[in-house]
Amino acid sequence: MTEHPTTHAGPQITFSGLDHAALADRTRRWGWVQYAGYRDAAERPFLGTTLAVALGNPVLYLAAMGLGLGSIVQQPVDGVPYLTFVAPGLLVSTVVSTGAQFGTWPIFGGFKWQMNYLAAQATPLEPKQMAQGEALAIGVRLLVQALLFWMIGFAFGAWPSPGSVAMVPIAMLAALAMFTPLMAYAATLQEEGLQFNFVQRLIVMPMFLFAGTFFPLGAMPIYLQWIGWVSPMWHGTQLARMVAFGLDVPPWLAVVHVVFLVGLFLGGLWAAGRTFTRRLVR
Amino acid sequence: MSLDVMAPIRARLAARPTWLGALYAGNARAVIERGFRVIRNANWGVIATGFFEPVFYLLAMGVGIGALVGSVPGPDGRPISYAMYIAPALLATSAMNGAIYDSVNNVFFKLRYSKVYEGMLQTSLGPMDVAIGEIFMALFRGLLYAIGFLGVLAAMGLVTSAWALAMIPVALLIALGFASIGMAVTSFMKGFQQLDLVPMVLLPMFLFSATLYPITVYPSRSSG
Repeated sequence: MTEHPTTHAGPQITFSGLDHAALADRTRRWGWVQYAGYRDAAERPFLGTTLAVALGNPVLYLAAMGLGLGSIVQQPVDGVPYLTFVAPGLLVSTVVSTGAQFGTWPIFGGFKWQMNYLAAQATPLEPKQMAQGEALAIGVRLLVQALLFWMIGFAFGAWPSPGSVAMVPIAMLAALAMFTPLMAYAATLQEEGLQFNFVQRLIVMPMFLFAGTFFPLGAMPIYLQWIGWVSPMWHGTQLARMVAFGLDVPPWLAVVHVVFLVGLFLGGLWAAGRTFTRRLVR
Repeated sequence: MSLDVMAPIRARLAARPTWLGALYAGNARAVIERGFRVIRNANWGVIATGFFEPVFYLLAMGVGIGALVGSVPGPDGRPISYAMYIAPALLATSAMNGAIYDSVNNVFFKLRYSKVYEGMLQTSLGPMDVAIGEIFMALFRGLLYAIGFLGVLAAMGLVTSAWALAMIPVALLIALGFASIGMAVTSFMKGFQQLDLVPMVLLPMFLFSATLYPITVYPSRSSG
């Protein structure tokens, strides 16, 4: 943030008794955290709903997929029982789906209907910081959601070792890698946001179904496997399987998974800073 | 004496049952007409994508999970392919999803954000016209998806009898039920976060209603 001079001769106390320059300085440095605090407060009335969904999803999915579907999948998959195989995929894919959902209508609505970004633009906050604040607030939410899923799965016996808790940050990273590029895109839309239907149906849904959540990617014909390779869900799921039951992944591929997710997250965040700025400063 | 252009409208309003007077103008057709105009001018692409959802499910589950499962016992006990087993359930699911999408997400959007209904209620239309019209549109969408998906099933060779056509009225009945309840529930919602509660109710139905595996895998008390 070099475009703003941040040094002052001394405190500049105005008639209101506040040092406005110091306040603005603080916002330029910590505004993204303040914005995340605002997001948190805005989500607070829906805490009960959020928790119900975050607790209900793992119970339903683990019971239906792991136990129901698992009982007709007789042979082991990737060397483990079906429940053990599918559970990490369910954790990652539900958290990533939430990330994708928050990257679409809620961001778009902030520009178009609720106009909270327009309100924030009237403060020293920069558009880039709003995008960072969104990512922080959503990241915390996703972390909690992943942690609840992990705890329920642990009680279910879906993952044997306590070390599998490492899936929680993995799921958060994968979800943020989905969230930030969508956030960047959402800020560019002007009309009703009908495009998100295409995003949901033609991007998120195929990733959920084809990208190795329910069966190994290798079970698909090769011309469909690329859906997994470009999907944050698949990269996250593979990492989660490594820590959950020790899926055999060569080290170079594990590095590729991490680099892909971090790259997508940071690239999306950078792009969102650009599109937020273009939308708000003109 | 000038020609009374309002006469037919007045006659229609007078013909309503009196107890519905405050709710219903007998003109749900106007809402339906608007619905078709919107489809033609704006969102036919969105409606078209909804058709892919069950097809994707069929491909992913039929091919991917089918490779893990092999065959399952059919209704008469003979083994059938997994894709053939899940296909009718996915048709029912797509009718449910199409109806819910129209009657929950779209209705919520029009109610809270674009305020389409506020505009409608400024005319002679009442809330019941709006509800009937919107439920009809949801049914229409359910019908489209059912026909489209049946076509895909036939093309994939998963339909073995002409009785499969009977799935279409069944799908419409499913759509009617879900659209009506979905719309009633939506009218209580305050924030988009609460829309997530709808899948929480639908998911167990989808997952536990023998969509993806025979109901016999459960202990007998919970089946049915």
